[in-house]
Amino acid sequence: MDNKGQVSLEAVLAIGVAILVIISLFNIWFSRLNLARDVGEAGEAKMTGMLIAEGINNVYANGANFSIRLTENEINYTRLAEINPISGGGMVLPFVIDNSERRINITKNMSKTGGGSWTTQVAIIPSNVVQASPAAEYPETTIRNNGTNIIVYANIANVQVVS
Amino acid sequence: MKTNGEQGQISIEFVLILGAVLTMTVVAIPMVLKNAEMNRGLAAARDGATFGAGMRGLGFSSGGGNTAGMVKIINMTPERQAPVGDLDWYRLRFYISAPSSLIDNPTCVSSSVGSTITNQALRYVHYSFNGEWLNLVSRVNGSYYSFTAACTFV
Repeated sequence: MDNKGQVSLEAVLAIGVAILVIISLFNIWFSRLNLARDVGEAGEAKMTGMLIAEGINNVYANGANFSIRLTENEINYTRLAEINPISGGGMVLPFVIDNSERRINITKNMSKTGGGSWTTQVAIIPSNVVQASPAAEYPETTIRNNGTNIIVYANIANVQVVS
Repeated sequence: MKTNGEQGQISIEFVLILGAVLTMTVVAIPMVLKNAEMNRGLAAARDGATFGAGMRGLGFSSGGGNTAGMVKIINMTPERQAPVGDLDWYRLRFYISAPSSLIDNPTCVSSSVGSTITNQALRYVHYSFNGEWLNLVSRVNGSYYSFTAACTFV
């Protein structure tokens, strides 16, 4: 009886100490988790912006009737912007192509690490980019040079062009 | 077969040991809490600075310059300052390596990279102490320590 009681009390003490230690580590652990996820997602958003910029520059350089299609394997807008309990804050769509500044603006949602948003830019060469809705012939995301403009076929919620 | 007396004797020994452990724990608690606060503050500051450096390295900022470049935290040292009230004041100094294209002011804390990193470090310290985020933090006070941040380009 004595031994059983003693072991039981020791177990309670050990579990109690373990719980205290784990609880004390929780908020650092969660902030590190969100930190890692948000920086990772920021990297993904930047890489996607660079992919679009590369596509625009290539289409521009290759002349009329040249086109590039970026499939869902290359750019998955849903995954980029989604916010799950286990993910970071995602990015803020759309990618904004600014003709006058010749750059693509990328915005990252930082709601899980203090709120607000952080932005970055990727430079592009042409200043004659226009946006068009995807069509059967040009599904999302297709970038085409029609000889006059560089047309980005994408949902306006995902890619927006401003002058 | 055990008698009631034997059971009582063992129980008292155990109670004595438990009492001694509890006494030592109570005596050690203030020291443990103080050290824990310092450790938590330093760990959070490292996290925040790493976050700021990582985001700036990718070219992201919450306002202002957006040039990408390799931003690294080379070291962090806590510098003890004169006490603030009852609190021990530590200035956390970050030694930052950044390309010249990102250094818009030679005074580190006035540059966009330096201010991002020091502010993020203090934001994380504030979050670890208070469980809430603030946008701009210049000083974080705990129960035993007061933290500020500074930086130097290396």
